Amino acid sequence: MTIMACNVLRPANYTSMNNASKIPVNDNLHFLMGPSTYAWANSRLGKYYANYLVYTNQTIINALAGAITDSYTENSTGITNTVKIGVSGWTSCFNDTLKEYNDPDLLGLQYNEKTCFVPP
Amino acid sequence: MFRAPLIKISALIGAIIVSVINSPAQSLRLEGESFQPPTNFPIVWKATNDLPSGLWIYKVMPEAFSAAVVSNAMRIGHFEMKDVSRTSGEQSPLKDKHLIYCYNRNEYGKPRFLYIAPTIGAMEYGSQRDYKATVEGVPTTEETERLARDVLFQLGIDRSLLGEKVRKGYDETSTKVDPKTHQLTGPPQVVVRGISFERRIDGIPLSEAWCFLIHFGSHGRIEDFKLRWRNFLPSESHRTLTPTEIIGMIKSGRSVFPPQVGASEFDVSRSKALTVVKITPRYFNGSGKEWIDFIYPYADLEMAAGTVTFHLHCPILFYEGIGKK
Repeated sequence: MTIMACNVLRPANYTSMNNASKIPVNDNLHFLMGPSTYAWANSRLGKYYANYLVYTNQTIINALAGAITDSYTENSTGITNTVKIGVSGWTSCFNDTLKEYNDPDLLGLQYNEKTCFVPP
Repeated sequence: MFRAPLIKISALIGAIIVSVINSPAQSLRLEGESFQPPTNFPIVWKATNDLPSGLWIYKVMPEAFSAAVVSNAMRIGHFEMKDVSRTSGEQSPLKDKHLIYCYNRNEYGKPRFLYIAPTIGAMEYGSQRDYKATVEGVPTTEETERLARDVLFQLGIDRSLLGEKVRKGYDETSTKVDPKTHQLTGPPQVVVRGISFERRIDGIPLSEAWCFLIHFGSHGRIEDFKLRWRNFLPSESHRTLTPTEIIGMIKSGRSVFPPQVGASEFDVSRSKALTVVKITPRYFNGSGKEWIDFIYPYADLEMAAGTVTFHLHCPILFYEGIGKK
């Protein structure tokens, strides 16, 4: 599941939720991802996300990261912060693509944070 | 007696019209909404940085990569000729009718691909890692830059055309949760490091934030890279506009309000005056994923309207019809 909104999975919030055993990923959801920092709307982001998902068969995580990277690279006017995405899910599902995917292994959740844009 | 001179004059006029219509300088289209300030709106120039006296428009040429560079890119990606196929480019992230597409499976049995778009001058490589594999020996930030520069060399990039400043920190970290205790198993571990480089033309940056972005994983394994490197030749040189002429361009509605963060045209419209705070010349490179005919310089203007700061983009070259009030 992708939620395109600011600070969806901030590390501090993730740790806090984990300490309270309230991570919003159940045994069926493969992973939850979205910006872990401030992020910005961009008219090309959706197109690139779909493009990477369908044409290059990239992992869903890399497709989103690549789409944010590409769209911000082409137009970063006014963006002054580093933009990252956070991903929380089952390790077996991090390699999921649209065509190849695995069931949740339930062997422990993983949290990754990936930098998509670095300001000048 | 009058016919011959008239024909010559009309032919000359026709030639001038054709040359003006075909002039690359005429076809500059900046991205954004046309910006038209109210009549008699004061615009003050406070930018202190100097502009070059003249700049070139460059014509984009096909065949950006030599056979040796294509061969090196395939070797970097662990591809052989049997992995190569040609596609129309319609179903790829890079729109190129001469697209070269390589595909195989990597050491984890995961997809690995390489797109080489020689006409538009772009490459994209990706080798999916196995998230269950042990991560070790991820390069340091310094090693990442050294490794990246080595790849750039192999891809035939003239390093003198790169900007001095690189953007480090395109990293990925990972933390796991113990399934029994439900506690984090430790602090975040860096599993991938990335770095990007900027291209400059005549010392001037492009509209894109980078021309090369690469990520390295365990033991310096290349996770992915993207290269945007068009081939181009000088086409026309023109003098740059003076501050007075640029203000005239803004007043006459020939600047654009590009998509940007932190300001809207509504915010700006409520101000009483505009100030040009800084001017940065850039070359407009489009998306880097599609063909463009020419690469033009433009002015990236940092503006102030009361407490609001925003950007305008404006043509920067003087040619017939431009710069006049």
